[in-house]
Amino acid sequence: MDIQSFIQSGLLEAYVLGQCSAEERTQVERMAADHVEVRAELSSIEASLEGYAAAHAVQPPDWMKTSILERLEQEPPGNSPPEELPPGPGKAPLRFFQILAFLLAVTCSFLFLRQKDMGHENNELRFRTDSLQQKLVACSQEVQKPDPIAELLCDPGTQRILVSDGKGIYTIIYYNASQKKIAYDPYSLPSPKPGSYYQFWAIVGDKPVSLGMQASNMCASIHTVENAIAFAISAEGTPEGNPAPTTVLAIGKAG
Amino acid sequence: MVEGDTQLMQDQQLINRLQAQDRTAIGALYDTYGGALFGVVLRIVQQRELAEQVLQDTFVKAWRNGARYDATKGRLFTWLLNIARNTAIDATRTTHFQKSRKTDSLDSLVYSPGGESINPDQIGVREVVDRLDEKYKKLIDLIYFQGYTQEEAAEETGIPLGTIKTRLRYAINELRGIFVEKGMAFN
Repeated sequence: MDIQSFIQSGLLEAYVLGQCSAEERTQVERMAADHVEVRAELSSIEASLEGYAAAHAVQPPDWMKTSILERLEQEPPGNSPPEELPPGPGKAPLRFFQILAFLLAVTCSFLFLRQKDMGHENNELRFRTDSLQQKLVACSQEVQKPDPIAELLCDPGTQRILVSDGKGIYTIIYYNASQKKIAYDPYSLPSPKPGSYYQFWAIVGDKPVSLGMQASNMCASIHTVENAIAFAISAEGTPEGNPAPTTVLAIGKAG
Repeated sequence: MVEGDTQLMQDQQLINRLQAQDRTAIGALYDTYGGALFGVVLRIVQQRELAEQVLQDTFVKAWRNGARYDATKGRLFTWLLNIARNTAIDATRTTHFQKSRKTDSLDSLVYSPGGESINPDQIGVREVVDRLDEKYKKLIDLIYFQGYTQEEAAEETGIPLGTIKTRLRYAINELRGIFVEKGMAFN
């Protein structure tokens, strides 16, 4: 198509009016870039329509300009977020690119946030793994340590003593005279009465020797004395216990 | 009216200021084109309050997108008009607009207080363009002002699409001829 035919085709008017397809727009822009006559014709069409618009201008209200400038004060520096506007005339293909750009922006934001989230999650998981690994090492070291209670229970010289009130068993005390140790499960004891505390005693000869108050850990291994002939549990009125038993609740003979 | 070369120089200065993120450029842009754009927007939305909102949005969008304006692809006013027209058309598609579609008459929109035709210079231009045949004016109004596609304009007027295209070209040529004849060339 020669230049004059192109100019007279009606495509330039359609371009200025935003009525072109993307393909037609590219064609017009290429022709305008290559041919000064096309540029001049385009400019003339635009100018005529601009004149027509100016002829139908309507004065906006006086407050409008101030209002726009006030709104701009709230805006970040211009030219920042690319929006829904054309670089030149064009409408229908613009919508397609708007939607495409919007979808791309949403997808990118989603992926970015997801990656960010996953980064956080990753860090948190790494932290938890490190923490668990440390605990595992600590447990492993603990397991490898000799267990004094297990040693006591496995020792052939350890006696099993039933501590009873005559009606039932309060607890079982494991006593090893040569190691001077006893072990028992404090949670096997019945709950003491309110305001009352259990104190443990070794009976040596005819005298009670305090072994301390009821232990709070799961399985207590406490030092005791040689030559205990019996062990007793008393009820005391103070958490610190007393030098002599107040009320003996249960007793179990050694040997 | 500003003559062609001066207008283009003014436009170039405005573009430079806009792209240098000078907020006062929007004020100058408004002074130059606010009235013409408001006239277009009023014709599309046909509700004064909504048109005022659309016009404000138009200039805010122009500010946000100044960097994307490419002078090789069209005049500054054409770019602004596209923003205004698209913003106005979007506004007419909102649910709120559809529900409250009580349009004001064009006369009351254009001639209500604060809405007079813009200035004596433009009244002169108005008289000139009024010489354009009514059928051409209607076509330009539909397509240029109201954003109808040529197909929609054909449907609206009941005129075949081929005739619409021919008439449109003829109408713009006539318009150009009128401006040249009156020494009001814009280019």
